[in-house]
Amino acid sequence: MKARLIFFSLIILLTSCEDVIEIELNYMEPKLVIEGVITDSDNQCVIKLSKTADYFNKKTNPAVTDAVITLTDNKGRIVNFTEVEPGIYSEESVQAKPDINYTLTILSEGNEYEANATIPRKVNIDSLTCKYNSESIFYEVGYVVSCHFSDPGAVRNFYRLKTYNINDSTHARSSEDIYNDDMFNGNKVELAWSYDVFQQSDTVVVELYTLDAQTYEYYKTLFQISGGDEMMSTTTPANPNSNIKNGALGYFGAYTISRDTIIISPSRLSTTGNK
Amino acid sequence: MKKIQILFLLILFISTCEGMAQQKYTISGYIKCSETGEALTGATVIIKELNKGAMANAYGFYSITLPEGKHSVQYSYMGRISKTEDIELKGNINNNVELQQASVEIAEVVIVSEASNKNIKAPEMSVIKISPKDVVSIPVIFGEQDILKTIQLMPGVASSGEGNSGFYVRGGGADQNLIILDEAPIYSSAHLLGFFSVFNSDAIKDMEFYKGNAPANYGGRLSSVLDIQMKEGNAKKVSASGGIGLIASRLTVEAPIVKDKGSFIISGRRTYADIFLPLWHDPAAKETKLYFYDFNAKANFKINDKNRIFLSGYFGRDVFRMSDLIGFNWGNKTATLRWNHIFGNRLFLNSSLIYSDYNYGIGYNVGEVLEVTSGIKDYNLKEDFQYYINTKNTLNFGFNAISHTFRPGELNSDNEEFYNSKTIGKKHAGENAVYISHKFDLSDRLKLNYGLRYSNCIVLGPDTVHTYNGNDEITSSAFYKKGEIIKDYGILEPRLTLNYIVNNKMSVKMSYARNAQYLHLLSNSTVSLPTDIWISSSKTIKPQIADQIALGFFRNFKDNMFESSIEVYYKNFQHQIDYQNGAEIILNENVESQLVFGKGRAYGAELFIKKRTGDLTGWIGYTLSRTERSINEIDYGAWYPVKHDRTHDVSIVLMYDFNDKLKVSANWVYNTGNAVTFPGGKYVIDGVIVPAYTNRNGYRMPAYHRLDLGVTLTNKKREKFESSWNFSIYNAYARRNTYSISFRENVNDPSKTEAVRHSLFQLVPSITYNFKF
Repeated sequence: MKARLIFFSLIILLTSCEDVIEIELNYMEPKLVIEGVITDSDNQCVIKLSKTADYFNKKTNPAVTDAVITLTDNKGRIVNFTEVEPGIYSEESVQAKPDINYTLTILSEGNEYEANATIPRKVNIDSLTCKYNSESIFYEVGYVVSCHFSDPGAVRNFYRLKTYNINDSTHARSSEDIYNDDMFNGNKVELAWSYDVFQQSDTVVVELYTLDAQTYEYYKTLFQISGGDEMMSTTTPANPNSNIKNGALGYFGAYTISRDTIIISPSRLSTTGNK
Repeated sequence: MKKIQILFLLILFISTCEGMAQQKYTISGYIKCSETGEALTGATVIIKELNKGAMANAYGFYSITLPEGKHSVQYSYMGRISKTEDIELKGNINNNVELQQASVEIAEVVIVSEASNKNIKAPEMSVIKISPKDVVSIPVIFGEQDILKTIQLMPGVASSGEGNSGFYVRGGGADQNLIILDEAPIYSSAHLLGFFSVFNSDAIKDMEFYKGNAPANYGGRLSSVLDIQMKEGNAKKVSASGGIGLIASRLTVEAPIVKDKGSFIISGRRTYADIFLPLWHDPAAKETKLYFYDFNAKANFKINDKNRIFLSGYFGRDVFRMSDLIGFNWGNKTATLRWNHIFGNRLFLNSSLIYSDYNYGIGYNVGEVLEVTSGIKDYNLKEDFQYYINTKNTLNFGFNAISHTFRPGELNSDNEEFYNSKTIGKKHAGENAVYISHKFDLSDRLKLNYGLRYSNCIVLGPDTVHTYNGNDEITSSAFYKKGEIIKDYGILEPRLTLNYIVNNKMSVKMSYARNAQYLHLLSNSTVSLPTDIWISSSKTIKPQIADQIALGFFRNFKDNMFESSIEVYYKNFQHQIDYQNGAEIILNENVESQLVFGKGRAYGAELFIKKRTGDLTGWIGYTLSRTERSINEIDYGAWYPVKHDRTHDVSIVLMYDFNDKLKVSANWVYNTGNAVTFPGGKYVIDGVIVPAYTNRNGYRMPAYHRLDLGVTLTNKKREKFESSWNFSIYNAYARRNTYSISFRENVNDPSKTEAVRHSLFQLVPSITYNFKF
């Protein structure tokens, strides 16, 4: 529930002052960060390893090289990863399928890390429509794209939505649009990311990710501490809940991607859900 | 059964502890204000030759038992002309007394009378008693003398700062304060943004505030008791008072129902903070509504000398609405019916029937209109007996039975096609207590107030109760029928205060108290939100328990012109609640799976010096303290400071009376910033910079300090009409106090990260015109 949204709106209203200040932070021993994702698309699995850097340090995080990474599925098949670039390990021959439990094992600098993930059943986008927004407090003038799909009632589903202009794919990276199906389980759903608007003739790509439960949990706790411009956190900050054992930061995520495109024009306007 | 028998025997034993064979009789009655007929709580009755005295209770009733014969009885109350009556005691006497308000010249003299070293003589400690009539004590903030604001200027009480409601007493959480208005519990004590308390001071007669060691007749919250009595209303003539101001306006009307027998009072207040919003730069501000209102009403009637009834009620609401998109509102409503009965002339009974309701609603329009509501409702029966055995012994006993109904959350969607409505079922619990306490003068110098309270909490069905494992999965479920007992907790709470009076100017006090708390406020945020949820103890959630021990040294100087004290305390907390990382509290049927439990401890020293008389009055308070917690799931059980741990807390309040017309006040506060969690490093996920955290609350926000100034100009007093103007400025030197700190990527250079401070209010002015007739 977006209770925090309400509170932010009140505080943004009243925050007459915002300024950058100097803060001294204590030294923290660099920690290993594992960013690993397995999906059903592209038959590829990419794992990135790096170390944390000082918070106010301008340099990028150092890559961690020479790690030994293997992926095992519940049938015992093992796949080894090759380091294609410093800190980036990938494997091309992974045929990731839903409902199979994958175990990732990483051996780096004498420590072993392990994580499990299962790819969920894919939920596909049924259709895309667009809606015109005239000026209002939160939204700029333009078209908002909605994604329509049917949520399977029998299981608990978790989603992430990325909506972006085909020419600007990097912007959508930080999309925090995540959902669980508690409020709409089993229904036909319409989801829209209202904070990005598009103009007529834009080609917009919508990606509906179906996430596994641990990946949703990771993103949920990740977005509470990062991303966005005015991220004024009200919950007590802590590192996100990760499925990686033995104290590394990052996660081993699993999801499916359903992709669709729409060219904005008045003929694709949505007629449902309009108030 | 056994417990009642013991209680009975105890009462019998103590009441026979009279000693002397000499015949004794009782003088009893009510002490009231002669101008309005209001009862004078805490008025004293003193027989100098015998060095004995008594105090009027919250209803102005006193009872003093003396040997037969002639006595010179002096009745006094702060700021009033004392009355001495020569009474020949040959039988029990009913003597009602009215005391007149002293004019300003006489007031100076009266203040230095015996009653003025009450802080030395009274057996209570860590208690603050304020009456709005005690005009010399309270600074004016935003044109009002706000009692809640004033106690936050006392040592040991930390304010939660701007934008937050709630306060912290000796390290206790914001939900650990029992606030009762005419016996009814108030669940949210501050209006929006914490600028105004929910109590309209014009309607308040008296307030008593205990910092954790209240006597046994109080219970249910760990850290403090704020017991507020509303005025009864002028029983002699119609009178009104009020104020019209830049931010808020208020009006109070009082009148007799039957002269000297019954009266009523109605009081209302409304703010219009939204009047300021257009001053802020945000265009969104124009379509925003932000206001609150509250309303107090009370009527009382004296049936005869032994019976009196009271009916009082409170209703308050806060409203915030941002055009059509978002809105929320919340508030308390209470009603109390009370009956005072006097048995004989030494046993006083107050019987109360109470209703209290706190709820909130959040509405948002995101295409569909969604509404979330939540609340708590109480029905309460209370019986309190006060038995004035003799001048050395007073016995208080009684019981309290509360029926709580919790509405943890309801979601109503007007478009079921997309969003399903959802209701988390109501929960029920009974909270009951029985107590007895004994105020006993061991000797002329040693006074004791000890008691025992036995409280319990019975959680009832209908409900489906789950238990969870470490991964938030349900491990078992059980369904309970309506009225079936799910869980039952019972806790003994001993209380003790000891006062050793060294001499007229000096005393040493010591106290110990155990408190149990069965209700908990769930709030997973670093700022307090009115959308925090009240829940009951359950199979998973054990009652919170606190043990507090305190020691204090009290000394008055220069003929009671200066009051000073130093108190040290140590407090131990059990079953404190904290949240898992990423906890979902709102509309979660399984909210108990998101909670983690552990222990806490708090200790500190409080220094206080007050100047009570003269042109310059005021006080300085300083608290040095530490409050920390240890929870297995957080930092592996290491002790960490709680958010509101304030190492240093300073309050300086000064009031200067230039003359009849001009009065100036200033208050300066300083406190160490809240404990916060800052990152130790950073890394990148999916192209976005993420902070890496280490210890919980390992850092501090910058220190908070602020100066408020006020000027009161009193107009010439006309025959029946008084008026004054008050001008005040909040945060006079415009300090940017930190409301919160966030970390973000630099707008111009995303590879660079920076810390951003958000501050709220600087230089908030207020002008109020106050009147009274």
